Amino acid sequence: MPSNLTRREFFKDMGLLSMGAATVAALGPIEAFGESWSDKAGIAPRPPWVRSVDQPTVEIDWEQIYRFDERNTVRRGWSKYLDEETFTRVSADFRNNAAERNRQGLPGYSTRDIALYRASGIGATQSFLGPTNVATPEEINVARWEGTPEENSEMIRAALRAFGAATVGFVELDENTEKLIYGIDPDGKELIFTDEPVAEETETTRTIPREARYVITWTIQMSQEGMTRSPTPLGAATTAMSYAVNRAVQSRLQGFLRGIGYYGLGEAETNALGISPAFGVLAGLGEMSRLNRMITPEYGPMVRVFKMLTNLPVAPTRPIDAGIMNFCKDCMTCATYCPSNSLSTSKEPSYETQGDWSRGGIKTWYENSITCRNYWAEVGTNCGICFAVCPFSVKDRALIHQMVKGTIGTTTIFNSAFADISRRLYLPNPAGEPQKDTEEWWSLDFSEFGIDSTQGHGDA
Amino acid sequence: MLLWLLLGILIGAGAMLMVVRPEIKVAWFDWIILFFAVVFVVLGIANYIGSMEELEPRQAWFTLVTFGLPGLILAAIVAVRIVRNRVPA
Repeated sequence: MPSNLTRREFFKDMGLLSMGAATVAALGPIEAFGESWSDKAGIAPRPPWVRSVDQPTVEIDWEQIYRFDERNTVRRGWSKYLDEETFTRVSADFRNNAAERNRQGLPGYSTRDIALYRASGIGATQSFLGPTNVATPEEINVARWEGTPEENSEMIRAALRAFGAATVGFVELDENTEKLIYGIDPDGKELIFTDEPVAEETETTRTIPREARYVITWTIQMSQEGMTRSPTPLGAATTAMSYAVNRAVQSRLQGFLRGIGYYGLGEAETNALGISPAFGVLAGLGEMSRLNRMITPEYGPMVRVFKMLTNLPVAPTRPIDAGIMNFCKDCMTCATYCPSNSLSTSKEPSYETQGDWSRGGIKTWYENSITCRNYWAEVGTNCGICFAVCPFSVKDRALIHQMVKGTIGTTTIFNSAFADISRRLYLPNPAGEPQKDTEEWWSLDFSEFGIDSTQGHGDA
Repeated sequence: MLLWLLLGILIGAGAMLMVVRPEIKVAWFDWIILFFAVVFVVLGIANYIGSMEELEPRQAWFTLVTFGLPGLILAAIVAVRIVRNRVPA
């Protein structure tokens, strides 16, 4: 720099640089300022690049949406989509291949890894109507809780956080969103809306009073350090654990609602009642993604999403735009690293499904659930590689993550570069292999459940 | 926390020295360059520590070099200018 540069010339140059930066920024969809911050009622305060919007970033054609039979998903209906011989073979593989890989000495399949996975799923029970061992206000002769919808949202958020949830949002059912409640539950029971004020369960049906118009939806964190050991039983343990944790969270919330004079109708079993990511996206917990799952601004896809219907009036939270769906268009990391090539590699999302296991009606990246599930059989456990390699699956100790997420939420022009850097830094191993040493996991000094429960929250 | 305290003391002492020593001449734009140098170096260190806590050593070294090196180069430019413009005592 010449030493005879005057102050006037210096500021002139700075002005030119600023104009250049502004021009570059204008090339992307700059919207960080001037729009509202995300709702605070029932959802943790978020940085300005997580913007509340009126419609979710995923396009929805409500005319195409109908109440789906959960048994058509590959979770429950795997055999429907395979011939008998293939199904017999892959289901045997699914039962036996973890032990087979253990005998071959493959990393992540040691006896202790398999035991950890199987033990992680042990926990509380769950049910549609919930436990009845919490006294109602009537039973102990006290007044029922009465609050405004905003107060109720805040209260439920606090209770759920205390019970073990990460983020919490709310949706009010209308003629469209009602269609996100399954028509048939995984166990074959029909879910029926009724004008009667009492929820019931019989041998063949579960009835939902129409007064239960409010959906509480929440996330439970999974461990990044665990999931990066996918596809192994060690990697799958965090998935099993988060479902087990939720069974207790759901029962506690149902007990809490009963204790204040209301009721909560929960999942009768894992993934029952309705489509969790849909409610999560509508409530602003995250955005739809190339995984055809929800990605949150706080934890990326490293969460499981849950929901409950209640007659407690709550204030709905709004969908968000944090640049996540736009990022997925340029990233492709999950699709590239998917060992069974089950994820879409199209740049743009589409309404076209890849099979009857998806109901359709949303413009997303539909996956081939059959090749995905068959790969689970091959490795003898659930996979999770797509979650593990997602650039949003980062912890938040380093400032760089907030800087990158803030940029992604502001402009799309750096998305490809960020995806590329993420792959180079975080993914040293080829697709189909754990990205981190499975033996090393056993010597790490973890926080409880292997998650950082302060991540994404101000009042740690 | 102790690291940041020590770094703050070090930066403050350096700045004080540059202000009070008459043989050190610092142009106004040197201060601006130094400001950016300090920001880059601090970002490099902060991200290095954060990434190490995340058990991501590749990310840690990458951010240390990406932020720290430009910071050191900017600081070196100012240091060279100060040495050249030094007023004999």
